[in-house]
Amino acid sequence: MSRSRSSTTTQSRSLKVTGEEIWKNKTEKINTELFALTYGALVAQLFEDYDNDYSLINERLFSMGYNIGVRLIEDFLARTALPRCEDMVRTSEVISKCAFKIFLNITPHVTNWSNNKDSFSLIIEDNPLSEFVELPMNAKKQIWYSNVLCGVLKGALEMVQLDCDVWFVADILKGDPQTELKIKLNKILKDEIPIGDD
Amino acid sequence: MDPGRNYQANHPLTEQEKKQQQFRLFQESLPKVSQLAFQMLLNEIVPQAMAVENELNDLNSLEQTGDRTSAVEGERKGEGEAENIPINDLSLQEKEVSSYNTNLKIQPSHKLIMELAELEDEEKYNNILKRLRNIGFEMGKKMCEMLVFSNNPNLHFKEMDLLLIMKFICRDVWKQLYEKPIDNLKTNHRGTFYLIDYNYKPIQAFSLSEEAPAKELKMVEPFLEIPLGLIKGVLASLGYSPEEVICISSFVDKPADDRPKYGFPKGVSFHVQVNMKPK
Amino acid sequence: MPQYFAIIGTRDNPIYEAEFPSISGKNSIGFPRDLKELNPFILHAALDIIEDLQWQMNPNSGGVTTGGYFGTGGNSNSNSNLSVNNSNSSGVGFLRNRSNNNNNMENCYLGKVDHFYGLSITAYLTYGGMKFVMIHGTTGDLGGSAGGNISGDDVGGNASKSAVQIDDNALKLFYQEVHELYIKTLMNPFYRLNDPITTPAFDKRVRALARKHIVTSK
Repeated sequence: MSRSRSSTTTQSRSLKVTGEEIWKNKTEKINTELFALTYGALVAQLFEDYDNDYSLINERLFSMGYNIGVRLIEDFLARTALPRCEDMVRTSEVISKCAFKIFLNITPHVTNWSNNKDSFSLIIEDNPLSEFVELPMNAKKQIWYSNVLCGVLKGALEMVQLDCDVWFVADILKGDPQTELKIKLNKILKDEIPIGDD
Repeated sequence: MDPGRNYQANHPLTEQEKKQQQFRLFQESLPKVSQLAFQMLLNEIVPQAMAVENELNDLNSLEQTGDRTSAVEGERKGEGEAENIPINDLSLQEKEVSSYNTNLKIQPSHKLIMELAELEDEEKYNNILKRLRNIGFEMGKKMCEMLVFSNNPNLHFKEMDLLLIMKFICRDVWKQLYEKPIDNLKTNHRGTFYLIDYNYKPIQAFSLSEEAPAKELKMVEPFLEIPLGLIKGVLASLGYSPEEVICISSFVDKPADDRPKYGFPKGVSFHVQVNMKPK
Repeated sequence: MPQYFAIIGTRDNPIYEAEFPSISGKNSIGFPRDLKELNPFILHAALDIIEDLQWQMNPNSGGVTTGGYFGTGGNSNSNSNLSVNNSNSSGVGFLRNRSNNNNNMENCYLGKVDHFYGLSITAYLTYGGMKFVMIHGTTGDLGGSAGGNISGDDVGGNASKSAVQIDDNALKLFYQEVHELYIKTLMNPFYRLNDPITTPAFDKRVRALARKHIVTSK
């Protein structure tokens, strides 16, 4: 299937519509604040468990996200019935307009493309995870509070054969002007990765 | 209820109905996320509690042998990764990316859950359950503050006794979390309560095989720690300190009526005991 | 009239304190120094009264120490202002919907609970047993009866002479909005009950609320 450039805006708009329609009609919802305080309780517990070793906390959040991502993707594919993305540009659209929309009801902004179009940034506004949160002073510099999102994205993308690196580069909670994470494609995986194979 | 009735013109809503409607509208206007995202987050907390326990124990033993840094790095290197770049050679940002994206060895959830169920070390097992309860506790406390503050019409500050509080948990708290209230509340009116949920939502996707139901029930048990902590947290927020409250869970059979038997075959009973201390 | 506002925790520990000076022309008038030093003590005396009220209102509470708070008696009036379509979830605005709709908050405001040489002390109790207390100073003649000769005996006489007028409606609004800010702080996963609140953001917002609701220029 070849797609011309002129049809990309139509595609993009239809992704938006798809995302909105699924969110509106096919998604059971709960209050964001409940979600936020659940995640908050988890992070606070990790602070206690790891005695403020922030790199371990970041990793734990990432691991958690990864395990969620590898399963979440199934629900996503089932509900959207979207075909595989042929490139990262399309992938970025699907992630920002559909995935974030139907799970978190936000549509991050895609920007900062690399020259060869293999990496981009997502600018996240109204991050539901960080509602009410103020980081303690000593944690501010080193903790990526929403690191679970990176894990989710990595796990989900891996299941659709995209080996990516996902990491935060800025966070409002740290005092940065915006919350931004990067996704970079490493390679396309040829074979299916069996889950849980040691 | 007569569908032909025009409520506004002829039969205005009662004060209580008005409040309920207002509250419902208010709840609908709040920002939302998907239930699924919430459920998956909630459920992943359990296997991660196991992973945290493992990691903490490894760190402790490594610290004792004085060999922490190199061993932890070794642990992080994934299996069969083509490029194992020594972490110290990378720039700071690359280090960050590398540390979770390439080098992290992530144990899948089902393995952790199995490991937890088979854990023989009682102390570790209890640590993990305690961790889960704490999380539930904090959730309960904060949820309660929030629900109380938003003027839930089911909360009557005039006479709020323990029974009403339990009803609040059964109805409002449970509905917020799991979209349905507790199925059955039993009490002896002397501080003992049983909250029974025949279809406790977070465990519906688990199934029990014919062969080893007992072992599988053991796998599901830790998933009940968070709601136990939650109940205690709500009670704590309303003035009942955790020392006064005992919370235990158990599996119960579903009632033998023609309810569709889908999902998890057992119901859950939360036994709450509140010690009413004389003043 | 300068005001001194404090949030006291369930263990009688100070969580937050602020003085709101009154503005007269270009001058900002705070409490005179000797009076200022007394404020914490005045507050503490008021706390006893507040705790009495707490106890009276709810003798059956499961745990007075943790501040369970129910049973204030009296009917709350329904406030039918409800903004339904506000989907703003950031900042205080998101919580503002709640206090507009909140009948139970009517019972939190205690009004004037004590007085001390012309100073009035008002209070407000949150559901979790946090006490919001405010000392309302007089204007101008602070050097006179209130600040100068403080003898132990003449309380009644002095109080009635120069007692500060309390605008209940304005104060109630102030307390309610601070209550919202407090709840928002409580929702922070890293904030523990009874921790002091030290963030500049909180302080800034409380002062803004004070400017908004409490007319202090006279």
